[in-house]
Amino acid sequence: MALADERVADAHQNIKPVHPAQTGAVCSTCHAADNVEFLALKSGDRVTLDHAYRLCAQCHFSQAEAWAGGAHGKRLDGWQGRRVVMGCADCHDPHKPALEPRIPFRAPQIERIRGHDQ
Amino acid sequence: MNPDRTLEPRGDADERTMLQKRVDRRRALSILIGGMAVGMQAVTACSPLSPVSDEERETRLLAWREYIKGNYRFMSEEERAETIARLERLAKLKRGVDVTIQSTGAQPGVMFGYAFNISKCQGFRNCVQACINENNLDRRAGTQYIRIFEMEDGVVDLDEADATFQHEVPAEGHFYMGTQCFQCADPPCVKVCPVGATWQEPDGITVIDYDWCIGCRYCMAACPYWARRFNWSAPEVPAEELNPNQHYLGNRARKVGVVEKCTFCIHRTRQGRLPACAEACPTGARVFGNLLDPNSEIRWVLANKRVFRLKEELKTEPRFWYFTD
Repeated sequence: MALADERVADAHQNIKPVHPAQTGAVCSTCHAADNVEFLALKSGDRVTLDHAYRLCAQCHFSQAEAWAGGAHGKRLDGWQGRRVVMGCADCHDPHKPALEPRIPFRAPQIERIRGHDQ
Repeated sequence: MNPDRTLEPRGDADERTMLQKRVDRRRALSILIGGMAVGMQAVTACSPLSPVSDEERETRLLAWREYIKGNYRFMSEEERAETIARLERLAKLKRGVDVTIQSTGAQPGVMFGYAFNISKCQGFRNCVQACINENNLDRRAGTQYIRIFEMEDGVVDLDEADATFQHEVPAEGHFYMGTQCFQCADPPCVKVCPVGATWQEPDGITVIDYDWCIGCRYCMAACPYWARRFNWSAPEVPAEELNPNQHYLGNRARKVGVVEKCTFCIHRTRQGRLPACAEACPTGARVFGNLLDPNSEIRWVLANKRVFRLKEELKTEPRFWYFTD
């Protein structure tokens, strides 16, 4: 992948461009060409990184709809009162969005349980 | 859903008088025997042969008063405050821990509901870990309220599901489905309790009075979801791992021979916070909220997603839905 080859050694060492590799994107597909601190929308608007959901929603519209409604993402401040939710990039690394597989917390100390003899 | 049905169980008035009579008899006994016990202790305390410390005497007296108290459901506000003060003091005397036990009641206009996204859950069991820490679950017996079932893609089959998986997750070709107490609107566990030690609160949470439970385990047999856990031994939680934020009907200290279960983290949710499992989930598979609020997230899920409930044909009306993306 050309993007990975051309990385500046001291600036982008932690970036694993899996997502661009999957989608055929380049840096400027999401970032503003003159300033990576801004995101460039297809409409021509530019938004700050805090409003990444507007950029992500351009492709992931069903996820964005579920996120706005409450079926996707995480709420931060409890179930009551003002609704504060995590943004897209709070959970997903934009360059490598999928969660890593890992070993789970310990299993219950029981024999293999089955539906009818639980 | 008819909220009226869940507010007052059938035959509540009769039950109330019946239990009230019993409580009155208990109180008469308590004054009689309690007086004797204190008298005896006073006598032994004066004796040079008996090395009973002040703390030991206080512990015995408090434990005795705890032993003869009534059912929480029928206590007055003063009685509730008294028993909580005793329990907090006993925790300090016996274990040297400072705990705060709430008696926070249900908020009006609130009915809790839960939704679980089986497309999102990856089987990490962060929820299980958070639940153990939050609810002071027995570390020695390894009690867990939540079960995460690993199933092959395509069909919900609990007979073939495995809750004891311990390999890297998510496994290829599998999905994960969590169960816990579903806080049924028509709970079979409450119906079978012979002593009225478990009941449904106005916000839909089925709770247990651990000091009224006789440990017969009828409720465990009645629950079609295996949501209840029995304490075969006295639960053990290291003092440094103890969660001091407790509720009388929730995560306070349990004893040997009583049943316990998930209460949707009653000590958190009644103060507007999320249950520990929902807060801990790294995948966002867990949605919690007020079913009576049309703008809540849970209502959005129920209105916009394809949902189902476990063993729906049993008509237990769980307030816990599964959905997919």
